[in-house]
Amino acid sequence: MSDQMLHAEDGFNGYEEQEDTQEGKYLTFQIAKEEYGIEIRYVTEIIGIQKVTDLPDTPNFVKGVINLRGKVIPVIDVRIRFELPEREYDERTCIIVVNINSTSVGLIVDSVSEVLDIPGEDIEGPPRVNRSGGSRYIQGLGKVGESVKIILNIHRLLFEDEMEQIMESIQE
Amino acid sequence: MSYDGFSSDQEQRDILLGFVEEGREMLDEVEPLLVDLERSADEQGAIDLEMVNTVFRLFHSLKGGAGFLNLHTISGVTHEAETLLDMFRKGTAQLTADHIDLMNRACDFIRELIEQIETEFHDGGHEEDAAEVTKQLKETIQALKNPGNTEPTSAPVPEGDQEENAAEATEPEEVQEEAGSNASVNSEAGTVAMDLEEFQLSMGPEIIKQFTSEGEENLEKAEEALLSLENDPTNTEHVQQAFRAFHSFKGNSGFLGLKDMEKLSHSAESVLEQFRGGGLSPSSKVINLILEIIDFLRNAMNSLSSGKSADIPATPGLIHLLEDFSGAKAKAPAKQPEKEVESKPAAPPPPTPEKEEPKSEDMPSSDSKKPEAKVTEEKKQEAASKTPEKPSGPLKATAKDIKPTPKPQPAKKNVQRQSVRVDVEKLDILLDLVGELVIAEAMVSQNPDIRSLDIPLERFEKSAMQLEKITRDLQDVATSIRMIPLSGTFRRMVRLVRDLSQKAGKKVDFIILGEETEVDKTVIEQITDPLIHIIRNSIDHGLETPEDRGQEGKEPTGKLTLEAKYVGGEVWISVKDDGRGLNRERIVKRASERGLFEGDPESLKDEEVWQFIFQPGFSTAEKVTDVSGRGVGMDVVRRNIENIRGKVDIRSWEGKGSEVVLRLPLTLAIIDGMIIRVGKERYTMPITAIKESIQATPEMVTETMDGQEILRIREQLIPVIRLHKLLEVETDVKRLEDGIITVVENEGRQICLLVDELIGQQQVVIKGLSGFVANHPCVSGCTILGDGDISLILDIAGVIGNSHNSSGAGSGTVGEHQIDKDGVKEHAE
Repeated sequence: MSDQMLHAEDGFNGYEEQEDTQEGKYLTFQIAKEEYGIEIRYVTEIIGIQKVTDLPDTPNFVKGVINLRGKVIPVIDVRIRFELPEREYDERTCIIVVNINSTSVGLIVDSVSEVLDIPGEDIEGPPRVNRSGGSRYIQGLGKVGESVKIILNIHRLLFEDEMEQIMESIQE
Repeated sequence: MSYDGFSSDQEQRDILLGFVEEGREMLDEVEPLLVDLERSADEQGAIDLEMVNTVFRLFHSLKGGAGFLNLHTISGVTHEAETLLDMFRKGTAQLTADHIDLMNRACDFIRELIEQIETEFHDGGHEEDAAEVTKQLKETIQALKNPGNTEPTSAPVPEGDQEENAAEATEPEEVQEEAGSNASVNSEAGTVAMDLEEFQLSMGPEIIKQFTSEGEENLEKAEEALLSLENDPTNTEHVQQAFRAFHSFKGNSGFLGLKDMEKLSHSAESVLEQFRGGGLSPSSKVINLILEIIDFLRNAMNSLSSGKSADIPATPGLIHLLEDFSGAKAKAPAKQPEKEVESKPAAPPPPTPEKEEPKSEDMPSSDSKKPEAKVTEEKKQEAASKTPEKPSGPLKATAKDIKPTPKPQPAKKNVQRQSVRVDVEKLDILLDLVGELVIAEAMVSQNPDIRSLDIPLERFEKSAMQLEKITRDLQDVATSIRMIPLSGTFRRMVRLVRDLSQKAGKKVDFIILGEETEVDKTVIEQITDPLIHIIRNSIDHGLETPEDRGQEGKEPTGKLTLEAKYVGGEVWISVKDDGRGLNRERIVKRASERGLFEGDPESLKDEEVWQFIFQPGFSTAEKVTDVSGRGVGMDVVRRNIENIRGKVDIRSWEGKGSEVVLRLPLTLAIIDGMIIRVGKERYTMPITAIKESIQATPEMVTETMDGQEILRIREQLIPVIRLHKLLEVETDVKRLEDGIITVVENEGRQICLLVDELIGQQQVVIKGLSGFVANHPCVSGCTILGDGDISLILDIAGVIGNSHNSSGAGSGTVGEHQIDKDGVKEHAE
């Protein structure tokens, strides 16, 4: 039995190592005037905006579902999630497909910028002033040169409050 | 724990998991047999030897497998069970319900262990329980041995050993041999032989199938070994292998009373024994002869599996030929199976191999079993990768040349040995991929780019049609792969019925029909619990006690029928009893107490009344027994069945019985859908839910003061739901007359849905919505249409239910609905 445990641990270490190489890398994108970043390890792919099928009775930021090469995945509009005014989609609008807890979800953003290395020491904690609104999704603030990137806590972005309720209702 | 010789943990785990799977199957098989045994013992006063043998064999295989894998707890328990069984087999003890209980307990215990092995890969940690079970078994065995003291079997210690030895041997000749050595049991040996005769006649197709597939494997192994031996005559490993294969084959055929096969394989074994002992060198002539024998055995097996006699007329001639090679020495053993008495003194050479086998099995943990079993594992794989025709092709020709007596039946060859064990996960992936292929195919052939081309597309259309046909065929095949017969599930119910009926003190005649009906694997997983609940209900509430039945002029034994059959595109599984039926008054009373309906109970139709029992917590039982009465059961039934898009129908006849029918879809992945349009969105409805579609006219519409629209369709008044309101879609179709009215039905409730347009009927592949958003009660999933767009699949039950919950626009409450029906009745009168 001890052998098995060892193997399991090996596997785990391997996984960790793989993630290590992605440590400190962030995909940045733009919404309204600000630049945001999410950890690259969650990102599966980036696609252009495509036809979204409406789902009835979902929170307003859940735009619906898209057909990603035969897989049906839900998409959420990050703008609406941040309680920012809605805006028409254009050719720069992108869907970032992320995978968390083996669930694929698409994030609609105004435009995708680049992949950046932001070392840990350049990241500061989230602002402590305003915990309401969109700022509760902030994991930290990354300083890159003169600019500041808002690093998002993707778990909170996807699963907090309303999302939790949804998840609960599914599990019932 | 160490398993020498295994190349890796993974391999070892795979082998253990294989054992788990096999073990489960065997237990599933044993349990109903035990129940049958008990019944036959009850009714005829004698046990069915065939059944005992089968049970014995299953326990024996389980023990063998467990011993090989060092699963001592399991092998210990099975060993005792086997010993007990052997006493019944030989008629030295009378089988009673207690014994069956005991063995059932042993089965339960083994099942627990197997479950543990599945997750923890060992069977340790249950030593106390195991000791308890073995102790009970041992005590029973001891008790059975001692009471009479008139039987010759009463000398406890040595006799016990002897019995154990006999218990190991699967060959009936061994049993007979032993019987022959003891004059006082001679008559018994006679009955054993006779029973075997009958046994052969009554062999079920299941047993024959098992025998032939095993036999084919053994023969292939022997053949392979012989061919290698021909090239490498000094290698004793090949001789051993062939010997073992023949030995197993002999054992099996002997077990089934297939005399000719047994004799032939026995004489082949004797010749091989001489190779082994160095008394004879394996010349190609001898090998050819043995190969011919293999062909004869094969042909006999083929005719057996096609329902004909397995006799081999050429047997004496072939044995004679073999004896010519092996000389006088082999003569006596060759005749052995024919005359047991004679064989006893003349036996010296052959007992060596025969005794070796039982001994090695006697100690499950001993090493001597390991190599054999391992070889078997390896060979199985080899054998599987080979087509059966290949090795036998050229040999068949020689067989024909020399002895044309039994006609080879090459056409029948392919009948047997066709199953391959595949991981379910792989099948799921396959089905997923096929589903995607179906979508991709539609996306290509209905591609809007192609449609918009302004040129003739004849050739394209032709190819597209071809592609479509192949895709459909592939889909059918992929779906059918996941279909497995219900027999396994049904057989598990046999045990359940027995236990429950005993507990409830009721006599039940349990009849199973249509167990060969195949359904999707997921369906099978989902129906086990519902079936248990329904059967429980039938026995606990439906069937009466023998006394009550007597008073009502019924047979004291209740009848419970479990039946499966195909009806249209569905599989119907029905549980029917001839008990007292559902008590309408009590159900109505409970329902009104719980406020499940208002108004006059007389107006409720029977089927509406029966629906109440599906309510969670609904129970009419005055007292809660440990079997049922808590009211959880039928709720579980309905939920499970709805999960797999099935339906539950209840029929009941006061005083005459009741029937619960589970109506299940054949497959879960694909439905016949009607694509409809509302605004810009397209939705899919299951065709099965749609009753009709009509165009409304203004005079059909009635609007109540709260805005609920009701349509009169012929004599029925049906509330309307505007889909665009329900699903919050914008559309131009605002008047009922402008759109299409689709009448849908679920569980006897009808509702009119207003849609913009019917687009068409189409088979759709169901995709689950991501867990993230799959929470809408009206949407059961989605599908991808030909142009790549997603269409949500409407859950009609949800739509109807939702309309009843929400009080806003587009709602029609159930109360209203029922009053509507009253209205209908009045109209009709």
